[in-house]
Amino acid sequence: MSSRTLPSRTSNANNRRSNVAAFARRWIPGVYHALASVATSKLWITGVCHALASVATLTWVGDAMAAETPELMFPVPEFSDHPIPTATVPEVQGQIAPLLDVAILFAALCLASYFTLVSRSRRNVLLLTIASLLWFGFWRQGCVCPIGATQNVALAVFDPTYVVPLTVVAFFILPLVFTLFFGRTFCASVCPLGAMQELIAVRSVAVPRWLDHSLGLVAYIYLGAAVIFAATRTGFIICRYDPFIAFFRLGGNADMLIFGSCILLIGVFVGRPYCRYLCPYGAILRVLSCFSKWRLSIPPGTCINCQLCEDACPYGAIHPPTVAQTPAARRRGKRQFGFALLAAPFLVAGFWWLGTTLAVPLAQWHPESRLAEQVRLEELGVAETTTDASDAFRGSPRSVDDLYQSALTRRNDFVTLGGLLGAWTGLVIGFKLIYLSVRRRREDYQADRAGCVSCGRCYWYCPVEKVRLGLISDVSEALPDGRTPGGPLVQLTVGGKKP
Amino acid sequence: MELLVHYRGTLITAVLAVAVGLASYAVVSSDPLAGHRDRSFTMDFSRVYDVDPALIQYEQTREFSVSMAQPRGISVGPEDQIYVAGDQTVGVYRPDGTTLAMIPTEGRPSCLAVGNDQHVAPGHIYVGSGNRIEVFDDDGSRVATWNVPTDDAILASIAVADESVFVADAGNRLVWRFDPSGELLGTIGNAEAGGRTFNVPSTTFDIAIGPGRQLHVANPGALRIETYTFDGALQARWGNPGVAIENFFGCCNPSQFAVLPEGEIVTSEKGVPRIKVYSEYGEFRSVVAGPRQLGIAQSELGDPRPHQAGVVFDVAADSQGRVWVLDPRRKSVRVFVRLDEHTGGIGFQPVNLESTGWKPIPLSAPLAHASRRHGSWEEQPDA
Repeated sequence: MSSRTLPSRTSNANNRRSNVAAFARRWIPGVYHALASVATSKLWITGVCHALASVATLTWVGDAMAAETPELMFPVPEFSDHPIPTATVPEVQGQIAPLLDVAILFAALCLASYFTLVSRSRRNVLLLTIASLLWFGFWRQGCVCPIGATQNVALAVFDPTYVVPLTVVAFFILPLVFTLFFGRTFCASVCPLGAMQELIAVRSVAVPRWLDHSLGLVAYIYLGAAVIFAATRTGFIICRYDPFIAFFRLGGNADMLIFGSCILLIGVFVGRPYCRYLCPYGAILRVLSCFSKWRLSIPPGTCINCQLCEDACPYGAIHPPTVAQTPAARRRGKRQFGFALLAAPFLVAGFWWLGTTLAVPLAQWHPESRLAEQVRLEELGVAETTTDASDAFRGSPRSVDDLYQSALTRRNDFVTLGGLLGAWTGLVIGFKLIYLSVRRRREDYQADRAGCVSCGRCYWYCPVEKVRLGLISDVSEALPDGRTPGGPLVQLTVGGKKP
Repeated sequence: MELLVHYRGTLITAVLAVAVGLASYAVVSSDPLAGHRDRSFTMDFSRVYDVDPALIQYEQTREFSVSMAQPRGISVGPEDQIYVAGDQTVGVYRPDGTTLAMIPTEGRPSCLAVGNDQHVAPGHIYVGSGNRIEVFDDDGSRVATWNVPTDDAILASIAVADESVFVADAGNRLVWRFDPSGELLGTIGNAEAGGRTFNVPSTTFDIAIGPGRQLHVANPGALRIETYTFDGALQARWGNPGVAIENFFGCCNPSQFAVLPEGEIVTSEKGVPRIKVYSEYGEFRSVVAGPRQLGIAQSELGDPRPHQAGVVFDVAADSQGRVWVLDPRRKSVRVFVRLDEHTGGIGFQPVNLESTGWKPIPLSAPLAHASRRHGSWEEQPDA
């Protein structure tokens, strides 16, 4: 198996190659310095000369070395019977693809807003939903998405060393801007996660209001945790726990596949469970949507209070007209409002304290803490195996004590961060209580400003809309038997909407 | 069907409850931020761990402690005395393990060599540390300190010929040649001078002198050994990369080697530690010790933790053909003897070493302080 080779120094070919290499080594640095010295008066010329000379040096020396000593290159080790894959150079995408993504997002948002608010076409909204699912979901594999971009932006805000790509910023900002003007049209038919759930919401049941409001808080807490974890470089948990990314990429973690499948199964009966109860970006859009300049209105004209839209909405985002309040109910409402106002600071303080007690479990999410724990177990000899991170650590000059100290510092940081997360949770709960204790007057069926995702399903059922489209000549044709406008199902305070 | 319709609400609630439960379980059990070891690229070392017993033709006959925290290099000098460099000292030992002297050094030694009887100054000790070579007389007194003419040197090995001292520099990937007075005579593998270069990915870069006035140089990145004249002319090269026992495995091997009296070469590999014997021309002959014989557990192969990743078994050979292995983990010197010499042939039971009076020195044995007078070391009582 061994080999003996004749001395290669006597080879003429090798001598020639050696001469080339020697020439390159001897002359190219001289040319380089000459070019650089001539151009010292002009920095840009110096830069060009450096670049040209460097390229020339690399080219010459690289060729010479490769030609001179091919046998001295690393031999391919024999690891196993596994064939060594051929190295390939990935294609450089350049700036076109990101710009195209932003352009498509912008166009999709424009179309969604137009279909929702101007043309009022549920069919077009549905077609756009399918197109968005195919493009942003399966073709672009769910990345970049505005939901995940929240973390990039948060990291860029808190860590100046992190450079967030403009594409990501655009993906984060554009839906927010559109929401401020047109409501949640992004959720309607552009978001691939929403699109996936929109298409399967076929057997929706009504979620009790108390449960709907309670679960809706989870999205805000999730948002707070995601921002803290992103800002501290702990991890991008929104992406890690994306329920549908495994479907978009046609493969993934088994746990996430189960999670995504369950979300889809729940979505058959409970409309858009991820959007309503988990989506952190949706939590931001909910708030902004309350201030949107224009928003979806269910009937194009006078609401006949038929309740069909409320029944049709799978997301519980349509509220009926309010009934007249008795003086006792009004007094009770005021007491609830006062109680909510008083409770809010205590909730913030209480959850702050609770958050500080969660410092250790929160810190354990951070890679530094995980590495310290793994190294500690390895040092104690109880670790079953090493991890890639601990392997890399062992290969670094960093000391174990330094790692432990860093992990302890991180844990102390998370006392404050946990407190902030707790305070945020308390604030959200307190605000929700205040929000619920404020009575709003509605004279007809209205879409909830925060909860409506502008899907346009209610258009299909609204008799007034059908009259507008010429599908029926009178609203009574669209009403089920026994249900009449202004019927016993609702009691209006001051009557129907004025024409 | 009516039953389904009747209990529709209950069924939906049950489905939702199961789905929520499953989803919650999936989220809790999933730990996507956890650090894992990527098993898809984990190497299976079972093939290389056990060596065919028929190929192992050496056996460890004794072992003695060197009382150093970090032993780094071993060499055999005149009268087969053993020299071990480590910490900030050079230990001199008799073949039976008796400590003869502990010579303090200025730097932390990384390698050493001792002039043999053909050297112009037999018994001179050359110790490499940092970018300098400390030279000691055979009585342990400092003779000189040579500086390698560069600051980024990593001295990995020293080889002493009759009138030349070669120093392998892993930092500059070349071999320096000095005369016995410390004057630089030239270099081998200097990229700036053209010609051949050495592929040295790590700090292991060993050299040794062959019986025919040749300089053997490990080209670790190329996984082979090359033979040069003292002037730097390549005479031969051999060695193949591969997992098979006759090949050199890993990123940079052989990490250490020594030359037996008949010119055979004893190689030591790191990563998957194994010590083997080749002919002068690279023909595989036998195995001195595999990972198991060297005390490495199979689970430790590929383990980057310092106690395993840093283990490099330096080897030396004496005039009787014994292989001296420096074990940095056990901080000891282990002696391997050919089975046919030791037992009268392969397959014979080894003799009872204890009955011959060979006893390993306990690790806690006190050091002996010694001085060398008139060509022989004399033991001295503890100071």
